[in-house]
Amino acid sequence: MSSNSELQFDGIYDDLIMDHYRNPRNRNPISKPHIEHSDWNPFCGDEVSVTIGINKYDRISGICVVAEGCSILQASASIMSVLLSDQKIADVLAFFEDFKYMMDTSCLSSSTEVSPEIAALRTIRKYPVRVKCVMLPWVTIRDAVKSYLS
Amino acid sequence: MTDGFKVNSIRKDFPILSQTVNGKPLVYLDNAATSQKPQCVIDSLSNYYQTVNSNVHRGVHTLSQLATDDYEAARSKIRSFINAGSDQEIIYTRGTTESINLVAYSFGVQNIRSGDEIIISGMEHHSNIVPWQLLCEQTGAVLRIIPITDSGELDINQYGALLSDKTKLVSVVHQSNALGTINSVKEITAMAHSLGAVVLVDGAQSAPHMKVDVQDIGCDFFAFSGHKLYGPTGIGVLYGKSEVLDNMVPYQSGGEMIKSVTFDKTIFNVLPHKFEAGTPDIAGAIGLGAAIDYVNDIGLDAINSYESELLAYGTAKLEQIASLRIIGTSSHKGAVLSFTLGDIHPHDIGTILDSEGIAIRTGHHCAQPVMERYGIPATARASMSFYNTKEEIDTLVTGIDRVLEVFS
Ligand SMILES: Cc1ncc(COP(=O)(O)O)c(C=O)c1O
Repeated sequence: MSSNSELQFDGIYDDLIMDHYRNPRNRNPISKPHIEHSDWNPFCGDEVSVTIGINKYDRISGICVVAEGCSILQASASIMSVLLSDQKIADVLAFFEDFKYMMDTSCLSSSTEVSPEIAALRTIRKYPVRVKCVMLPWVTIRDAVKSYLS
Repeated sequence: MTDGFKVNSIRKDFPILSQTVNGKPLVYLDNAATSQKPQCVIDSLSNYYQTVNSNVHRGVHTLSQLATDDYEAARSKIRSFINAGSDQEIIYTRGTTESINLVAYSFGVQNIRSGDEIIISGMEHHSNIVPWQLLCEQTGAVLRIIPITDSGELDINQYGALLSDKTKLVSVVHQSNALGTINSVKEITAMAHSLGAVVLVDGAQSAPHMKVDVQDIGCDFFAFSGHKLYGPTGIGVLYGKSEVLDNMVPYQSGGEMIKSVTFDKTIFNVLPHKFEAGTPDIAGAIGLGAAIDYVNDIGLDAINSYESELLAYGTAKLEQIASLRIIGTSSHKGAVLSFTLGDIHPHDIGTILDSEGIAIRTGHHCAQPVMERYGIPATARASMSFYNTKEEIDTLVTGIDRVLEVFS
C-alpha cells in the first residue's frame, strides 16, 4: 500500500487499520465454545459472529470474531479480538462501556491515553456515520457476554 | 456534450451545487435518492408562506381562495405533466411510498381475496414489496416475483408464465433505482389487462427523467415523489384512473374527504378529495408545481438526451477500471451507475469519495432482493441528473482511483 500520508484526505484508513483489515486476527473456529452469538446491521448488511472459550479461571481462553462487511468493521472486529484475549469474562462489560465512551462523537478530545489500536479506531469519529461500523463487533460481544452471565 | 444544452447556466439555478464539501467542490451524484432544488422551487415555498399561506378548500376569505387556486393549479400542472385524463385523477400523497400504501390498503383490502395472486418484480424498491407482503398476509393472497436476467432486465417470458386468471394486481417499477433498468411497462400493463388484473407503476425514478404518458402506458395507477423531481420533500402523487378510484374506499378519514357528516352517515367527497383527508402539504404541492414548470422549461426530451450522454460517457469511463463491475447493464436504462470494486466494501468507497466532495449512495438501496440476485451485499451507486457534467464524472473516476490506491 502507498503511504497514507501522501493522500490528501483525512485518513481513517491508516496502516494499523489496514493491517487488521488485511490480516484479521482470531478468525479460527473455537472448538466447544462457551459463548456463541451473532448480530447484524439491517441497514447495511454488516454481520458479526463471536465465539468464545472460557477457562477455569473465568478468563477468555479462545476467541473467534468473524465480521463480514467494510474494512472498518473488519478491523474493529480484529482489534477487539486481540484486546479481549485473556481478559476476565466479567470484565468484558466494563471494557465495552469504556470503549463506547471513547467512541462517543460528542467528546472528540483525545486526551485519555489509549493504545494505538484504540486511537486508530477513535479517528473514525470524524465520520460519524461510520462509527456504527466500529461498534457492531463490540455490541455483539457485549450482548453475548451479558446473556452468558445472566 | 449535447450542443445547446446549457449545463453551466442550469447549474446556477441550483444554489446548493456551488458549495464545497470537505474542502472540495460538491459533486452531487446521489440524484436517485433525492434531487437538488432550483431557486424557483425554493422561492415558491417562501413566497407561499410570505404572501398566500392559508388553508385550502375551507374559507371564504381571499387568502384561502388564493391558496386553493395555487394548490389546484399545481394539480393541473401535474396532470398535464403525466398526461392524465383529468385533474381528479391526481391525488396528493406524501410520496411514492404513501401512494403505494394507499393502493394496497384501499384497493387491496377491498379487492384481494385468499388465493388471489399479486405480481411484483425482483427489482422493486422495498416500498413496492412490503405493502404487498403485508396485504398477502392479511388476505391470504400469494405474492409472485418476476425474475431478473443477468443484465438486469425483467424476464418477460417468465412474467407471461406467472400471469393467470388468479392475478389480481401487478405492481412494477418503471425505472429501477438500484440498476437503472427501464422496464417496458406498456407491454407489462397490456399483458396484465388481458387477464383482467389491475396495474400499478412505480414511477419514482422515471418521472424526473423521461416523458411519462400514463394514458399511453395504460396503467391503472402511477406513483411518484416530488423530492426526486426537483420539488420539495413531503409531497408526492398517486395517479389513478377515475373509474378505478371511484370504486375504492377512502384510505384515511377526517376532514376534507367528506361531503357531509352526521352521526348516522358520512357521505364521501368526490375525487380526488375522497383520498385527501386532513390539511395537505399545500406549500409542497405548490413547490412541486414550480418544479414541473422548471423541468418543462428545459424540456424532458432535452433532459433525457443529455442524461443519456452522461450515462454513455460514465459507462465508458468506468468500464476502463479493471476491477470495477457495473451492476445493471441493460441497453435500456436511465443515468444510474451501480457498481462494485473488487472486494472493497461500498461503504469504504463512499467514505473516501465523500472526502473528495463526491456524494454517491452506498448500500442495498432499499432493494435487498436485487443485491441477493447478484450475490453481493451492496453496491456503490452514482446517479446522475441534468445538472451533472462530464467533468464531474472525471472527478468520480479520479476518486475511484484514489480508493484503489488506498486499498491497493
Ligand atoms: C423505485 C423507487 N420506488 C419508491 C421509492 C420510495 O420513494 P419515497 O421514499 O419518496 O416514498 C424510491 C425512493 O428511493 C424509489 O427509488
